[in-house]
Amino acid sequence: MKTLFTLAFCIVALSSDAQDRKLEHLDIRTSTVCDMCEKTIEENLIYERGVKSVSVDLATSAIHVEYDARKTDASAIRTAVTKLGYAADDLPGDEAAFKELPACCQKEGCGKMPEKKE
Amino acid sequence: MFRIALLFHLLLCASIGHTQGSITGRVLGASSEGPVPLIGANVYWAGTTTGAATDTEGRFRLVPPANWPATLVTTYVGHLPDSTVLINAPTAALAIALRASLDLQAVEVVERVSGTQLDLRTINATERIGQKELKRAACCDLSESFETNATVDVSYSDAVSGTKTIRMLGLDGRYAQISLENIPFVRGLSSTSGLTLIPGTWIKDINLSKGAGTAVNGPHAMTGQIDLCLLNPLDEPPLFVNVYGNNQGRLEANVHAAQPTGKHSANLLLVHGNLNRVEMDQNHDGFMDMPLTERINVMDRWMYMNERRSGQLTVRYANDRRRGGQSAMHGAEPLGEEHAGHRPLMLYDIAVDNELVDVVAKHGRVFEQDPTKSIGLLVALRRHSVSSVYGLRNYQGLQQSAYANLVYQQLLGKGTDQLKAGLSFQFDDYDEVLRDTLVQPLDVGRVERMPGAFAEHTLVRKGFTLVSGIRADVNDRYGTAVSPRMHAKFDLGPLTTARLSVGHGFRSANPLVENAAVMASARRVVVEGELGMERAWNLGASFLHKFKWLDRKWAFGMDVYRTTFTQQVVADLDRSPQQLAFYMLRGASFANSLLTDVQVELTRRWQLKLSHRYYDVRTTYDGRLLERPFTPVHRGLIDLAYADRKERWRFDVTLNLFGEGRLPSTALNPEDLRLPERSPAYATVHAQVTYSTGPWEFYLGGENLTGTLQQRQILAADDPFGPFFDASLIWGPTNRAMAYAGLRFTLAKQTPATDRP
Repeated sequence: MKTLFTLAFCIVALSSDAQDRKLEHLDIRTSTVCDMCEKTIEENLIYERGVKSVSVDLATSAIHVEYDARKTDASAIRTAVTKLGYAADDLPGDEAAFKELPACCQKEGCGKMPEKKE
Repeated sequence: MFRIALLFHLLLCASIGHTQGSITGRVLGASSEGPVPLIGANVYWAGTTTGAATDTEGRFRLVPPANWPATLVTTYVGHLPDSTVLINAPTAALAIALRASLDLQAVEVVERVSGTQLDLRTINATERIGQKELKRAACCDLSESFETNATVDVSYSDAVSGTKTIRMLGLDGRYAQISLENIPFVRGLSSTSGLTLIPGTWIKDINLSKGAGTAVNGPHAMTGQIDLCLLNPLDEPPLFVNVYGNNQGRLEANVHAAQPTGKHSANLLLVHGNLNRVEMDQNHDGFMDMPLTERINVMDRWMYMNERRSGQLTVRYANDRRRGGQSAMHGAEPLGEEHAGHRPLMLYDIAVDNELVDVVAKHGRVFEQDPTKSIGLLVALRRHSVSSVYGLRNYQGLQQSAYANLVYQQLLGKGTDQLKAGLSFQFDDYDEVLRDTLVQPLDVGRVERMPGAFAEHTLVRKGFTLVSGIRADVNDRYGTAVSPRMHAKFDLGPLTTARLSVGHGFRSANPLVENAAVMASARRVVVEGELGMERAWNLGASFLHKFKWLDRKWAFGMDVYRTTFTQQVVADLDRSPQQLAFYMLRGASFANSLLTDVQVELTRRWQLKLSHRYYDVRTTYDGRLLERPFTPVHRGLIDLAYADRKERWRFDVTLNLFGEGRLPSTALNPEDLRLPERSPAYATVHAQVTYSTGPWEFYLGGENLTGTLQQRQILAADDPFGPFFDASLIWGPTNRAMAYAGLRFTLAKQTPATDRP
């Protein structure tokens, strides 16, 4: 029992340490159309090195990313977004990846945002 | 012991005698409780003076006649004489059944079941199995739905009844709480057969959580909780049909029909039928590999829901009939002239009938003045009758239960924290009697009343969640038990979590139904002392990490659990191969499990899962700490799944690996009726392909494709009424490869706006 609590304490200490690191925020304009797109981006971008949280806002087609500036930077994250088949600010989505997206995400041309000026 | 020694001696004689040409056998008469040995019956060769009389066991031994064929005549007072023509010397002991002269009832037929082991896979402490996963497994009933999962093991329990049982953390499924939308459901008399009485298609998803369960749903969760979520009438399509058939003669059909009954309410009718009328005996032991079954299962669910209130009423009726044992074909149709004398006249019969009626009602409402507070009431009523015959044994059980749970729920702080508290009441009335030929009927009927109270607090902070709960239950038969529970979850990173859990749980045992498999044996049931509650502590930790490596997404999980019993009803098969002894644990009993699991997305279409489990499950049997029988120390699972981009084609193949496990000791049996001390390691393969187009889905699959078979499933299969018969020592598959095919049809909902009245 005692060891359990010691272990629990250590893990709490460890996780609070993780929260203390300074995080950068980044907003990326993208080309999402549906909640499948939201899922694809959120479930994949989080695997990128240094990325701490990802949230997609479908209404404004924006990706909000929190990241650790010591491990990655904004351009690396944008490139990661394009590799999923989606546009990232001025970068177009990767063609091959776009063709792999769920059908609903291809309909309105998720990957071709740069022409769509806001 | 003297009696065993004597029988031992008799059996040896029989085999030695056979080489010398003696004819041996047994004479049985019918009684209201099944066949009984006839003592002093006359057995002689027609037209000669060569004869013998049966002994106290009804057995005889006879010098062979001068010439074959010969007619063997058996007479007994008050019974019709029997004459059997023997073409030549029988190779096994004869069983001769005499009918009472006033009783013209037909001779009954027997059955037996077979075994297969299956498995699922898991990662987290809590795991959700959705319909997609459920469809990947073959079908049919819920115990089979776990076949592609690593958390839950599925196995046949005996060679006769066709019942599959599950195991969690290395322990039987009865130590997990299996609930239906938070109502304890698989319990009491249904604790072994319950899952087979829930069709897989009725389930929307399954929440599996390992370790001590939540305090709210009852004290029962000792190894984990399996909560089944049924299809929701409000979401279901108007019509769904599933038809399934396999090459072993099993047919299943499911029909679901949903109908709106108002703006916020809907009704869902679920009908399931199962039929198997093909006798099959792949290992030629004279016993059916699977019982003949007839099952009907009907549920009606009505549900309403709006912002402030929700309620539902569910009624279910299930009737399941199984017939197995020695094949009727075997008895009716001689296997060939040379076997004519081999044909038993009295067949070992197995019949297991279950009938269940369930009524479940739920009502919940949110407080009008304060929407952060709500209150819910759950009520469940059940009547379950079991009637079973295993050869000369007969078990009758009736369970009448009532359950009520009142839960108050309130959000705390900024709405992240939560408090749940409430009261529960469980009433159970059990009538259970086991009748055996020579022993006094064993009556384990009882009434239990158990009021309880509970509270549970959930604390959510950034990266940390803590659920602490406690419940106290006052059982009027077994006393008061307090069960604290605690779960903690730590988010160590965006893709990394660790969990800890600790808790106490208890249950009252129903040892006869829980060990129903052993009834298919000649083991004498012995109860020593007063049996009490089963209580255990569970302590566990798990770790899950997802990451990207080699440009692929990986998930790595590991968990370790320990369940320690402080009280347990021990079912001892090791004392003697002729006995099943029940007594309260004296000494240590624990189950340690270690699961390691890796998943990788090979491409977007291909997924690979690998898992390994290590179990160390031991119990003190008569002062000796032994491995639990039939529990492989190592288990492995490899699963490869494919789905094309539009999920038109889906493909799944699963390899299950089973390590060695201990078998109950058969050292006291005659040499040819002994099993090895440990079962060998083996592997099974399942595969399934699904193609969907529009409302149609077609599936084709196979189970146990390598045809792995436990060769010797029944001890003394040729003498089922003898002292060494045992069909319960099952460690591996009892069926060879099986192929199945089926289709599903879903009539999609019209646009939500066109809700018909």
